[in-house]
Amino acid sequence: MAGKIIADQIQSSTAGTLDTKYVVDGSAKAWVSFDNASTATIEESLNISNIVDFAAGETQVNLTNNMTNANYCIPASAGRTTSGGSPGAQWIYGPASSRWQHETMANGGSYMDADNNYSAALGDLA
Amino acid sequence: MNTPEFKGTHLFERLLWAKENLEPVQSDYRVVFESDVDSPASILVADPNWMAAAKQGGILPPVWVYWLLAADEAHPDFKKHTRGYLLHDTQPIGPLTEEQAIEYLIYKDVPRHVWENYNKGNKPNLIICNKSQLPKTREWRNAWSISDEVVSGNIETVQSIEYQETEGLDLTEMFSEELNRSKVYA
Repeated sequence: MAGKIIADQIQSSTAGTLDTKYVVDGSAKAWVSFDNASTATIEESLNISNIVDFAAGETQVNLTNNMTNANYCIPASAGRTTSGGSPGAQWIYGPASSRWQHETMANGGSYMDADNNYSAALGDLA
Repeated sequence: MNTPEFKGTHLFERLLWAKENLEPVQSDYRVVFESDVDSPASILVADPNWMAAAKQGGILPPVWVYWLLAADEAHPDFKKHTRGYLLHDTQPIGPLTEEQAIEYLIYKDVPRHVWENYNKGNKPNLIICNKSQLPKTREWRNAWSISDEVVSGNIETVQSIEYQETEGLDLTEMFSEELNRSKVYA
């Protein structure tokens, strides 16, 4: 592609030098923000092909560019709902190189739908 | 805007180009399917950036690439993908209509046993509908199922999408010789 820069290091004028592998390895390879409180909708994303609304609080996130295997990091969170519900634990279930399942629980322990759900993938692409 | 010549370019780089240059497309289509009798109906929602890339053409790999990678991952000795190059080096597919793109997603991410036999039971276990046809609230979400009323209004749509002649999505491309030789799904 035009405009490609090949470099092993980036140097700041004040903060020293950083290997570009830190940037490549440390950046999210996929992320998604979705609303699951009404009709499931993807708000914004990178490297996501679709979501599958399985049930209350259970959503599968499917990738376009697979990860190299299932051993990658998936930080997840959810925002307070407009109806006043407060999400508690966020669970990640059954990750594979092509997907993960984002589960949102209420503080009481039951599955709940939240307006704003966020998850991402940190690791290596296939 | 024309798509750059992307064959051999890492798929992730192609997706970054698409996100920067294409307007997201929020599809009103929803794929509703029942993968087993004990679970509520699942609803597949296309990603807006992905849909824009699918309609643009020249970005996404053919769907059989995902099938081969899934077969690799299902192998007991799987450690990591060694054929990721298929995502990047296979000739990208051409532009799809929104309907063809939804069909592609069905083949990519709906369980095979669902779409292969969607119309062989007492009622279809997969339909494509408009999001306005879904319940307006999440009440009783874990009891949702495909109703006979919805089915009667949409089954022809499913059939027409599955069998229509396509320009961008070539079924012979999806079920490629390479896939047949590998007998992944034999």
